[in-house]
Amino acid sequence: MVKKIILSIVNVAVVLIGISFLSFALLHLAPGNPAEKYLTGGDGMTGTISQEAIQAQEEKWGLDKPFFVQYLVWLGNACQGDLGNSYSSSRPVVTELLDKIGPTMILSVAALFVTLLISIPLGVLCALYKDRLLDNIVRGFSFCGISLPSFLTSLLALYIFAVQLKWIPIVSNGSFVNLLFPMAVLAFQCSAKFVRQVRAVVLEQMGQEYVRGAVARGVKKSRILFTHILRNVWLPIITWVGIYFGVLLGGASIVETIFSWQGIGQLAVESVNRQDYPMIQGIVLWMALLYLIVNFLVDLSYSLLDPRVRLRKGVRLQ
Amino acid sequence: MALLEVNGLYKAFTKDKVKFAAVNQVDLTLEEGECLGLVGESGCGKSTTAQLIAQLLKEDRGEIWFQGKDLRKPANLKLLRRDIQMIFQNPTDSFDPRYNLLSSVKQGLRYFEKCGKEELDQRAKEAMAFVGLKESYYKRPIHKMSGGECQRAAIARAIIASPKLIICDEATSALDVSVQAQIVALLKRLKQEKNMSYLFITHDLTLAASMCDRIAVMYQGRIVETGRTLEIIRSPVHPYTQMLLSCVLPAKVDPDFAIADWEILREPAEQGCAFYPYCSKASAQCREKTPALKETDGRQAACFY
Repeated sequence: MVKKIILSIVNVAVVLIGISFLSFALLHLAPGNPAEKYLTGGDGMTGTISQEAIQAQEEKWGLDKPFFVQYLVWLGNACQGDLGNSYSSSRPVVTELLDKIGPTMILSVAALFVTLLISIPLGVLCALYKDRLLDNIVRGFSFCGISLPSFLTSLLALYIFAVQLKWIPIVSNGSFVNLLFPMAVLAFQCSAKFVRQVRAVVLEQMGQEYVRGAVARGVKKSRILFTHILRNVWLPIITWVGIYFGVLLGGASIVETIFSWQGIGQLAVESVNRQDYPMIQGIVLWMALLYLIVNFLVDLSYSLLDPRVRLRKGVRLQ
Repeated sequence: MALLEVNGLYKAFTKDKVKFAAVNQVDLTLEEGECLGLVGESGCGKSTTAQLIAQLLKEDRGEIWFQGKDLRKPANLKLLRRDIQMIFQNPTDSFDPRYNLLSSVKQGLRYFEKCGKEELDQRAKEAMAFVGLKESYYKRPIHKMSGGECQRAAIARAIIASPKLIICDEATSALDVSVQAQIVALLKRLKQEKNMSYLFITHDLTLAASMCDRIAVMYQGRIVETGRTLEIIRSPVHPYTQMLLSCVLPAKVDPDFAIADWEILREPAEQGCAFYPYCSKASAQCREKTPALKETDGRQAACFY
């Protein structure tokens, strides 16, 4: 187990370096000059700023150096926990990220909790009553949730509940009421997919020979459901929980921006608009790290949940 | 009174908006201590018949009587469940992967009898010993066992509740020949020592010949011939049975009998005898009328000739 954990940490480090290099390269390939954008305030007044001033700013941020030097300097600092300072706020990237993690974490955990609360029982019921009224109704909702883009759902919710009914303020103040609506939109979207996935895995298990055998032996349906089927669907469910949690923690940019929820997603959108290289690098690194940690935890949970995944001593993974 | 009596069993499914009868007017009788083989090609309705008898599927028409009681009534079914056990084709898939072998075998009895943990353990161990599974297997997870070992465990789980009838749905098809022989030997021993009855479903006529007292040949959802195993093997009456036997055994077959375009003509006849498109003896009446089972030389065959 210790060996597996060490191996995973090395893997995480290699993947993070790869991702950071790719995002660094993509940012530098993108058109536009962050120094120019910073000096003009991003309002397109290019002609009013002298070339010298732009060069001076580039020198200050180290943008005049060759690409690989810039990357290695950034990587060296990052290894020591210093992700640089934000171009726009001049505050350390780590501090900015830590400020935004809290709200994103609250929103993500709440949205995921509601998603699980809705999807698992509904998915199981839809599988049990396949092609019946409930299944068809849920399928309709699910279809809406999958096909409606999040910006449309968010805007509709904002228009109805903030503009028309005035239940919530248009600009978030971080209160519980303000949390409800972005959470509901995220939960609706995640549940739309998740409920179908839960239904599919439960149906798959219901078609297994061991379930038919249990029915033939006269085992009660409720017992088959709770002692056999539900225990065997945890593996795929946990995989999806991991994926959704990663997506939510990475910041649901559109929903956070529309509901002005001060989280990572909103920060990401603002940073991209300002070409704030260090900030974007920090966010990409944070998202990648989250995915890797969540995946690692999901992997670990497999071996605890399924005896077939449990590794014997001396068996190598590859 | 027969142990199992099936009368006019009918089940239809809809595929591509077309309704077809998977099981069509099937009549079967099985006596206590007897082994009845249900043979036929893949898709002829053998497994559907088994599932209808075990009430895993609901029949559209027909009667199923077990020990003189109507199995279609839920109250009877609840009482008789423990007397009818099933063994499936894929041995590993018939076990919940989360349980070890001993727990899995115990599940065969746990829901039928209220007995203490020690008694349950004892009976599970006895059943496992009977099928030749040693003590070292008790805690073994299913995925670490071979197909033959799993099928032995499936038999142990089936016999632990002392049933009257075991339905073996292609129970040896997924096993290699040597393991197949071991399982057949075990089933025969079980029949002798515990007077067990079997409904033995297989597509392998050789296997059915070595295992069963009687054979019912199924084609396109209907029983086309039924009789004592030796009689069917030695002198098949129905052309389809002759064809089946000509494929697997050096049997006595009509020299004039020929199968026309077997690979090409896969569509069953819409009316009349389902086998007539392939039958060299087919005449006008075979196309128009469905032959009923009639007595011929001590067995029944659904053929006009």
